Amino acid sequence: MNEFGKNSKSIKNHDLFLIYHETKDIEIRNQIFEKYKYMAEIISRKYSNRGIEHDDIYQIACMGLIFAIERFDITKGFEFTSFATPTILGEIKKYFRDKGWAVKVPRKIQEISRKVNEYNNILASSLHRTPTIREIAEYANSTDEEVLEAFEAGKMFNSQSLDEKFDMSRDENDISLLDVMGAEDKHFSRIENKDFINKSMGKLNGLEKDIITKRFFENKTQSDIAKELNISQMTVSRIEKKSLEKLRIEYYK
Amino acid sequence: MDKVLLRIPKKSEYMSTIRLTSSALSNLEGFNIDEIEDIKVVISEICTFFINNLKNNSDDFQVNYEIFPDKLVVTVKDLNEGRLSGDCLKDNMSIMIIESLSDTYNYDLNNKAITFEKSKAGID
Repeated sequence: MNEFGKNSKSIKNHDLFLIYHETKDIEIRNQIFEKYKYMAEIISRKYSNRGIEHDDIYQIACMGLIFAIERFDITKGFEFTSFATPTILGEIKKYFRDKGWAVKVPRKIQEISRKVNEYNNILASSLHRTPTIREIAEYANSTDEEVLEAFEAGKMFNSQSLDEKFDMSRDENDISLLDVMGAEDKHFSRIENKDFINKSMGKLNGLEKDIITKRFFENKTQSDIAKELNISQMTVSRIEKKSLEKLRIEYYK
Repeated sequence: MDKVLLRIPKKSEYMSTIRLTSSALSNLEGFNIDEIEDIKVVISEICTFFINNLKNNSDDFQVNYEIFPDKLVVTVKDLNEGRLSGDCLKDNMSIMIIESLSDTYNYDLNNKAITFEKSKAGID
Protein backbone atom coordinates (compact mmCIF):
# COMPACT_ATOMS: atom_id res chain seq x y z
CA MET A 1 0.00 0.00 0.00
CA ASN A 2 2.77 2.32 1.07
CA GLU A 3 4.98 1.27 -1.79
CA PHE A 4 2.15 1.83 -4.16
CA GLY A 5 1.34 5.25 -2.75
CA LYS A 6 4.89 6.48 -3.08
CA ASN A 7 5.11 5.12 -6.56
CA SER A 8 1.93 6.76 -7.67
CA LYS A 9 3.19 10.07 -6.23
CA SER A 10 6.45 9.94 -8.09
CA ILE A 11 4.71 8.95 -11.25
CA LYS A 12 2.40 11.83 -10.74
CA ASN A 13 5.32 14.21 -10.35
CA HIS A 14 7.00 12.66 -13.33
CA ASP A 15 3.85 13.28 -15.36
CA LEU A 16 3.58 16.82 -14.11
CA PHE A 17 7.08 17.57 -15.37
CA LEU A 18 6.28 15.97 -18.71
CA ILE A 19 3.13 18.03 -19.06
CA TYR A 20 4.92 21.21 -18.00
CA HIS A 21 7.72 20.52 -20.44
CA GLU A 22 5.21 20.44 -23.26
CA THR A 23 2.64 23.04 -22.30
CA LYS A 24 4.70 25.47 -20.14
CA ASP A 25 1.46 26.02 -18.28
CA ILE A 26 2.01 28.24 -15.24
CA GLU A 27 -0.73 26.34 -13.36
CA ILE A 28 1.25 23.12 -13.69
CA ARG A 29 4.45 24.90 -12.62
CA ASN A 30 2.68 26.20 -9.55
CA GLN A 31 1.61 22.68 -8.68
CA ILE A 32 5.18 21.40 -8.99
CA PHE A 33 6.42 24.35 -6.97
CA GLU A 34 4.03 23.58 -4.13
CA LYS A 35 5.29 20.02 -4.02
CA TYR A 36 8.94 21.02 -3.75
CA LYS A 37 8.62 24.19 -1.72
CA TYR A 38 10.02 22.34 1.28
CA MET A 39 13.42 22.20 -0.46
CA ALA A 40 13.67 25.97 -0.61
CA GLU A 41 12.71 26.09 3.04
CA ILE A 42 15.37 23.62 4.14
CA ILE A 43 18.15 25.14 2.09
CA SER A 44 17.37 28.72 3.01
CA ARG A 45 17.37 27.83 6.70
CA LYS A 46 21.00 26.79 6.34
CA TYR A 47 21.90 30.30 5.27
CA SER A 48 20.03 32.34 7.81
CA ASN A 49 21.93 34.34 10.43
CA ARG A 50 24.63 35.23 7.97
CA GLY A 51 23.83 38.86 7.56
CA ILE A 52 20.81 38.63 5.30
CA GLU A 53 17.25 38.34 6.54
CA HIS A 54 15.90 34.82 6.43
CA ASP A 55 12.81 35.93 4.52
CA ASP A 56 14.98 37.37 1.77
CA ILE A 57 16.99 34.18 1.47
CA TYR A 58 13.83 32.13 1.40
CA GLN A 59 12.52 34.23 -1.42
CA ILE A 60 15.75 33.82 -3.37
CA ALA A 61 15.59 30.06 -2.73
CA CYS A 62 12.06 30.00 -4.13
CA MET A 63 13.21 31.81 -7.20
CA GLY A 64 15.99 29.27 -7.53
CA LEU A 65 13.42 26.54 -7.29
CA ILE A 66 11.37 28.08 -10.10
CA PHE A 67 14.49 28.37 -12.27
CA ALA A 68 15.20 24.71 -11.54
CA ILE A 69 11.68 23.73 -12.60
CA GLU A 70 12.08 25.74 -15.78
CA ARG A 71 15.38 24.19 -16.71
CA PHE A 72 14.73 20.63 -15.57
CA ASP A 73 14.55 18.08 -18.36
CA ILE A 74 12.78 14.96 -17.14
CA THR A 75 13.78 12.99 -20.24
CA LYS A 76 17.43 12.93 -19.10
CA GLY A 77 16.33 10.54 -16.38
CA PHE A 78 17.57 12.19 -13.19
CA GLU A 79 15.73 13.01 -10.00
CA PHE A 80 14.44 16.55 -9.81
CA THR A 81 15.69 17.02 -6.24
CA SER A 82 19.30 16.30 -7.20
CA PHE A 83 19.00 18.86 -9.97
CA ALA A 84 17.23 21.50 -7.94
CA THR A 85 19.52 21.55 -4.89
CA PRO A 86 22.62 22.98 -6.61
CA THR A 87 20.44 25.40 -8.59
CA ILE A 88 18.89 26.81 -5.43
CA LEU A 89 22.24 26.89 -3.63
CA GLY A 90 23.73 28.70 -6.59
CA GLU A 91 21.04 31.38 -6.53
CA ILE A 92 21.53 31.96 -2.83
CA LYS A 93 25.29 32.20 -3.17
CA LYS A 94 24.93 34.55 -6.10
CA TYR A 95 22.68 36.73 -4.00
CA PHE A 96 25.19 36.79 -1.17
CA ARG A 97 27.92 37.70 -3.58
CA ASP A 98 26.09 40.42 -5.47
CA LYS A 99 23.57 41.92 -3.10
CA GLY A 100 24.73 41.04 0.36
CA TRP A 101 27.34 43.76 0.64
CA ALA A 102 26.25 46.90 2.41
CA VAL A 103 28.87 48.79 0.45
CA LYS A 104 29.72 47.74 -3.06
CA VAL A 105 33.24 46.39 -3.06
CA PRO A 106 35.10 45.57 -6.27
CA ARG A 107 34.95 41.89 -7.14
CA LYS A 108 38.72 41.55 -6.98
CA ILE A 109 38.85 42.87 -3.42
CA GLN A 110 35.96 40.59 -2.47
CA GLU A 111 37.92 37.60 -3.65
CA ILE A 112 41.08 38.68 -1.86
CA SER A 113 39.03 39.33 1.24
CA ARG A 114 37.69 35.80 1.24
CA LYS A 115 41.16 34.36 0.75
CA VAL A 116 42.66 36.53 3.43
CA ASN A 117 40.16 35.28 5.97
CA GLU A 118 40.97 31.74 5.00
CA TYR A 119 44.72 32.32 5.28
CA ASN A 120 44.17 34.02 8.59
CA ASN A 121 42.57 30.84 9.96
CA ILE A 122 45.20 28.57 8.44
CA LEU A 123 48.08 30.61 9.81
CA ALA A 124 46.45 31.06 13.19
CA SER A 125 46.26 27.29 13.69
CA SER A 126 49.76 26.60 12.39
CA LEU A 127 51.40 29.41 14.35
CA HIS A 128 49.21 28.99 17.45
CA ARG A 129 48.69 32.75 17.60
CA THR A 130 47.11 35.48 15.62
CA PRO A 131 49.20 36.00 12.50
CA THR A 132 50.54 39.44 11.62
CA ILE A 133 49.52 41.27 8.51
CA ARG A 134 53.01 40.73 7.16
CA GLU A 135 52.76 36.96 7.59
CA ILE A 136 49.40 36.85 5.86
CA ALA A 137 50.75 38.99 3.05
CA GLU A 138 53.72 36.67 2.60
CA TYR A 139 51.49 33.63 2.66
CA ALA A 140 49.06 35.15 0.19
CA ASN A 141 51.90 36.44 -1.94
CA SER A 142 50.55 39.98 -1.91
CA THR A 143 51.45 43.27 -0.30
CA ASP A 144 50.63 44.46 3.19
CA GLU A 145 48.35 47.15 1.79
CA GLU A 146 46.30 44.67 -0.15
CA VAL A 147 45.78 42.54 2.92
CA LEU A 148 44.75 45.52 5.00
CA GLU A 149 42.43 46.67 2.28
CA ALA A 150 40.92 43.22 2.08
CA PHE A 151 40.27 43.15 5.83
CA GLU A 152 38.65 46.53 5.64
CA ALA A 153 36.57 45.44 2.67
CA GLY A 154 35.44 42.35 4.50
CA LYS A 155 33.73 44.50 7.09
CA MET A 156 31.72 46.21 4.39
CA PHE A 157 29.40 43.24 4.17
CA ASN A 158 27.46 44.56 7.11
CA SER A 159 26.87 48.12 8.07
CA GLN A 160 27.48 48.60 11.75
CA SER A 161 24.43 49.60 13.71
CA LEU A 162 24.55 52.86 15.58
CA ASP A 163 22.40 51.27 18.24
CA GLU A 164 24.93 48.56 18.88
CA LYS A 165 25.55 48.27 22.60
CA PHE A 166 28.92 48.07 24.21
CA ASP A 167 29.14 46.25 27.45
CA MET A 168 30.41 48.52 30.15
CA SER A 169 31.04 45.98 32.86
CA ARG A 170 31.35 48.45 35.69
CA ASP A 171 27.81 49.70 35.74
CA GLU A 172 24.55 48.69 34.27
CA ASN A 173 24.29 51.32 31.61
CA ASP A 174 25.21 50.07 28.21
CA ILE A 175 26.58 52.59 25.83
CA SER A 176 25.49 52.48 22.24
CA LEU A 177 27.73 53.47 19.39
CA LEU A 178 25.52 56.47 18.78
CA ASP A 179 26.23 57.76 22.29
CA VAL A 180 29.95 57.84 21.80
CA MET A 181 29.99 59.04 18.23
CA GLY A 182 31.79 62.34 17.92
CA ALA A 183 30.22 65.22 16.11
CA GLU A 184 31.87 68.32 14.85
CA ASP A 185 31.16 71.21 17.14
CA LYS A 186 30.04 74.01 14.86
CA HIS A 187 30.58 76.57 17.58
CA PHE A 188 34.32 76.12 17.40
CA SER A 189 34.49 77.22 13.81
CA ARG A 190 32.07 80.02 14.59
CA ILE A 191 34.38 81.24 17.34
CA GLU A 192 37.34 80.90 15.06
CA ASN A 193 35.60 82.79 12.27
CA LYS A 194 34.54 85.53 14.61
CA ASP A 195 38.02 85.83 15.97
CA PHE A 196 39.43 85.91 12.46
CA ILE A 197 37.03 88.63 11.34
CA ASN A 198 37.70 90.74 14.41
CA LYS A 199 41.43 90.47 13.94
CA SER A 200 41.66 90.87 10.22
CA MET A 201 39.17 93.72 10.03
CA GLY A 202 41.74 95.65 12.02
CA LYS A 203 44.03 95.50 9.01
CA LEU A 204 41.53 97.44 6.92
CA ASN A 205 41.18 101.20 7.01
CA GLY A 206 37.93 102.94 7.89
CA LEU A 207 36.57 103.06 4.37
CA GLU A 208 37.40 99.44 3.61
CA LYS A 209 35.83 98.31 6.85
CA ASP A 210 32.78 100.41 6.15
CA ILE A 211 32.32 98.96 2.66
CA ILE A 212 32.85 95.35 3.77
CA THR A 213 30.42 95.81 6.65
CA LYS A 214 27.74 97.40 4.50
CA ARG A 215 28.26 94.96 1.69
CA PHE A 216 28.41 91.67 3.56
CA PHE A 217 26.80 92.28 6.92
CA GLU A 218 24.04 94.61 5.80
CA ASN A 219 23.75 93.03 2.34
CA LYS A 220 23.69 96.33 0.49
CA THR A 221 24.47 96.66 -3.18
CA GLN A 222 27.56 98.39 -4.45
CA SER A 223 25.51 101.19 -5.97
CA ASP A 224 23.65 101.80 -2.70
CA ILE A 225 26.95 102.05 -0.85
CA ALA A 226 28.35 104.34 -3.54
CA LYS A 227 25.37 106.68 -3.16
CA GLU A 228 25.68 106.63 0.63
CA LEU A 229 29.38 107.44 0.63
CA ASN A 230 29.15 109.79 -2.33
CA ILE A 231 31.76 107.99 -4.39
CA SER A 232 31.42 106.09 -7.65
CA GLN A 233 30.19 102.52 -7.80
CA MET A 234 33.42 101.55 -9.55
CA THR A 235 35.45 102.80 -6.62
CA VAL A 236 33.29 100.75 -4.25
CA SER A 237 33.84 97.72 -6.46
CA ARG A 238 37.59 98.24 -6.55
CA ILE A 239 37.90 98.77 -2.84
CA GLU A 240 35.68 95.81 -2.09
CA LYS A 241 37.89 93.65 -4.27
CA LYS A 242 41.04 94.97 -2.65
CA SER A 243 39.70 94.47 0.86
CA LEU A 244 38.64 90.91 0.14
CA GLU A 245 42.08 90.27 -1.25
CA LYS A 246 43.62 91.59 1.95
CA LEU A 247 41.33 89.40 4.05
CA ARG A 248 42.19 86.42 1.89
CA ILE A 249 45.89 87.01 2.42
CA GLU A 250 45.24 87.21 6.17
CA TYR A 251 43.26 84.00 6.05
CA TYR A 252 45.93 81.98 4.31
CA LYS A 253 48.73 83.39 6.40
CA MET B 1 63.73 104.70 -15.73
CA ASP B 2 61.59 106.87 -18.00
CA LYS B 3 59.96 110.07 -16.86
CA VAL B 4 56.82 111.71 -18.12
CA LEU B 5 55.83 115.14 -16.91
CA LEU B 6 52.32 116.41 -17.38
CA ARG B 7 51.32 119.96 -16.59
CA ILE B 8 47.64 120.42 -16.87
CA PRO B 9 45.03 122.99 -15.72
CA LYS B 10 43.30 122.29 -12.42
CA LYS B 11 39.88 122.03 -14.00
CA SER B 12 37.45 119.16 -13.86
CA GLU B 13 37.18 118.92 -17.65
CA TYR B 14 40.84 117.87 -17.80
CA MET B 15 40.32 114.98 -15.39
CA SER B 16 39.64 112.60 -18.25
CA THR B 17 42.92 113.61 -19.88
CA ILE B 18 44.81 112.80 -16.69
CA ARG B 19 43.01 109.49 -16.37
CA LEU B 20 43.60 108.57 -20.00
CA THR B 21 47.28 109.49 -19.80
CA SER B 22 47.64 107.37 -16.68
CA SER B 23 45.93 104.38 -18.20
CA ALA B 24 47.88 104.70 -21.45
CA LEU B 25 51.17 104.76 -19.54
CA SER B 26 50.26 101.87 -17.28
CA ASN B 27 49.10 99.86 -20.25
CA LEU B 28 52.38 100.57 -21.97
CA GLU B 29 54.15 99.19 -18.93
CA GLY B 30 52.14 95.96 -18.98
CA PHE B 31 49.90 96.39 -15.95
CA ASN B 32 46.80 94.22 -15.97
CA ILE B 33 43.28 95.63 -16.28
CA ASP B 34 42.64 95.57 -12.53
CA GLU B 35 45.83 97.40 -11.76
CA ILE B 36 45.17 99.99 -14.46
CA GLU B 37 41.72 100.62 -13.00
CA ASP B 38 43.27 101.00 -9.55
CA ILE B 39 45.77 103.51 -10.85
CA LYS B 40 43.03 105.54 -12.54
CA VAL B 41 40.92 105.62 -9.39
CA VAL B 42 43.88 106.64 -7.23
CA ILE B 43 44.88 109.44 -9.62
CA SER B 44 41.32 110.74 -9.71
CA GLU B 45 41.11 110.65 -5.93
CA ILE B 46 44.34 112.58 -5.51
CA CYS B 47 42.99 115.29 -7.80
CA THR B 48 39.65 115.24 -5.98
CA PHE B 49 41.51 115.65 -2.71
CA PHE B 50 43.28 118.77 -3.96
CA ILE B 51 40.16 120.21 -5.52
CA ASN B 52 38.27 119.75 -2.25
CA ASN B 53 41.00 121.03 0.04
CA LEU B 54 42.75 123.77 -1.91
CA LYS B 55 40.22 126.27 -3.12
CA ASN B 56 42.65 128.14 -5.38
CA ASN B 57 42.34 126.94 -8.96
CA SER B 58 44.25 129.42 -11.07
CA ASP B 59 47.45 127.43 -11.34
CA ASP B 60 48.05 123.97 -12.75
CA PHE B 61 48.44 120.41 -11.59
CA GLN B 62 51.81 118.88 -12.22
CA VAL B 63 51.69 115.11 -12.67
CA ASN B 64 54.99 113.31 -12.59
CA TYR B 65 55.19 109.70 -13.84
CA GLU B 66 58.29 107.67 -13.11
CA ILE B 67 58.29 104.42 -14.98
CA PHE B 68 60.37 101.59 -13.52
CA PRO B 69 60.57 98.09 -14.98
CA ASP B 70 58.35 96.65 -12.23
CA LYS B 71 56.43 99.62 -10.89
CA LEU B 72 54.97 103.00 -11.56
CA VAL B 73 55.52 105.98 -9.25
CA VAL B 74 53.17 108.91 -9.70
CA THR B 75 53.36 112.26 -7.97
CA VAL B 76 50.60 114.83 -8.26
CA LYS B 77 51.52 118.31 -7.22
CA ASP B 78 49.13 121.23 -6.85
CA LEU B 79 50.98 124.39 -7.95
CA ASN B 80 48.40 126.76 -6.50
CA GLU B 81 48.92 129.08 -3.55
CA GLY B 82 47.46 127.99 -0.24
CA ARG B 83 48.03 125.78 2.76
CA LEU B 84 46.99 122.28 3.55
CA SER B 85 46.41 121.55 7.22
CA GLY B 86 47.03 118.15 8.74
CA ASP B 87 43.39 117.96 9.76
CA CYS B 88 42.16 117.52 6.23
CA LEU B 89 43.83 114.09 6.07
CA LYS B 90 41.85 112.67 8.98
CA ASP B 91 38.96 110.42 7.98
CA ASN B 92 39.23 111.76 4.49
CA MET B 93 37.47 109.56 1.96
CA SER B 94 39.97 110.24 -0.82
CA ILE B 95 42.94 109.45 1.37
CA MET B 96 41.34 106.18 2.43
CA ILE B 97 40.68 105.23 -1.17
CA ILE B 98 44.26 106.06 -2.10
CA GLU B 99 45.52 104.03 0.86
CA SER B 100 43.34 101.13 -0.13
CA LEU B 101 44.20 100.93 -3.80
CA SER B 102 47.86 101.88 -3.99
CA ASP B 103 50.81 99.85 -2.77
CA THR B 104 52.37 102.73 -0.87
CA TYR B 105 51.58 106.41 -0.77
CA ASN B 106 53.10 109.52 0.65
CA TYR B 107 51.97 113.05 1.18
CA ASP B 108 54.00 116.20 1.38
CA LEU B 109 51.74 118.89 2.82
CA ASN B 110 54.27 121.70 2.46
CA ASN B 111 54.82 121.06 -1.23
CA LYS B 112 51.17 120.10 -1.70
CA ALA B 113 52.14 116.83 -3.35
CA ILE B 114 50.91 113.25 -3.05
CA THR B 115 52.99 110.37 -4.36
CA PHE B 116 51.88 106.79 -4.79
CA GLU B 117 53.48 103.59 -6.03
CA LYS B 118 51.91 100.68 -7.79
CA SER B 119 53.82 97.48 -8.56
CA LYS B 120 53.00 95.03 -11.24
CA ALA B 121 51.59 91.75 -9.98
CA GLY B 122 54.22 89.06 -9.83
CA ILE B 123 53.83 86.20 -12.24
CA ASP B 124 52.64 83.29 -10.12
